[in-house]
Amino acid sequence: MKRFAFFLFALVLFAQAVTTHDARSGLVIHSPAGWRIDPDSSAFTIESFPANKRPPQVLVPLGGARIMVAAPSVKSIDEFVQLDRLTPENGYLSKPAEIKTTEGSIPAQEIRLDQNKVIPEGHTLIHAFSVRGRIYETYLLYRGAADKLKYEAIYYQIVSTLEFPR
Amino acid sequence: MDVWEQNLADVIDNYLKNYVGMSGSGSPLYTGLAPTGGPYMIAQAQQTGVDPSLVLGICRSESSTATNPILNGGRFNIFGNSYHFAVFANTGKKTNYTLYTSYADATNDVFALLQQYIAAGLVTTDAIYKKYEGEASWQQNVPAIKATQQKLTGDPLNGRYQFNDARKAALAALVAGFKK
Repeated sequence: MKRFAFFLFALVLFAQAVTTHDARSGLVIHSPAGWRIDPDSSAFTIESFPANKRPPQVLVPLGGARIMVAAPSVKSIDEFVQLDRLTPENGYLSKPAEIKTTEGSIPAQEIRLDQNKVIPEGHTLIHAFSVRGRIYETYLLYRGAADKLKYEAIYYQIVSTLEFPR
Repeated sequence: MDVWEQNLADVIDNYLKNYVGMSGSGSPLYTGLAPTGGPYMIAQAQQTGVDPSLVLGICRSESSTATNPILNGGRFNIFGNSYHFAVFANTGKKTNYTLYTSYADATNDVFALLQQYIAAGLVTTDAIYKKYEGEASWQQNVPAIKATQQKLTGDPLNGRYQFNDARKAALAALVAGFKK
């Protein structure tokens, strides 16, 4: 019931979605209004908070979130995982998953980091998947377990509305 | 560790041994990491994908490469990690944070943190240090960080751990110079 409420919350938030034609990834990305683009990122990245609210070092304030969508220059998901070192040695847990997109439900590698030693109360959720031979990555970082359902609902809404290049 | 990584470990050790800081010649990181600073940094770089030249650039900016005797959080907080401060920087009030008890713990944490930066899309030196230090004051330390990256044959524009031909040539020349 709570999960459904957050799904509805995400739908309401997306009623005034911002549409971005991202030249770096070739994707059309629909994201919620009110989030701020991070100009320092190498890929399309939005944050739920103003830049001056970011504490040093930990990337997002408690209760805040960061979402990135990228098309990394790699040939496979394994290469992507090794490039960014999303490995068990660094605390990441990985499993096969299905992810809902505009291309239908497609297989993805789901990678989580929940025992975060250096970003207190930080939670990371990443999906890596392939569409028409190109590798894509979606990324969520938020701080504070209380916001898990809210931010994951927004994240999955962004993922499910990505428009891929033909 | 391949030959290039061994060369880089030697270059880092030489840098640490000869670093002229706030407490005389030599950084305590040379012997404060086992077996020495160079190989320790290479092992961390392999695990996290973060270039040790960037890490040492940040260390230089935050603690004069561990030679500053007065650090918020004690002598091991050499990367200025604010979650290991003894007192809050803005109020001076005591924190209840855990203080570091070794150079290794502080070093492991900064590599782990910067690995997450790269995963979050922050790959340039400017982008990484802006987020690390904070919006207001990041720019003043960047020239020293980039100079350290160059001195250690790293790419001053990129925090990823990588070896290209230019780096290999620079490493070979530096290591040949040590052996003369």
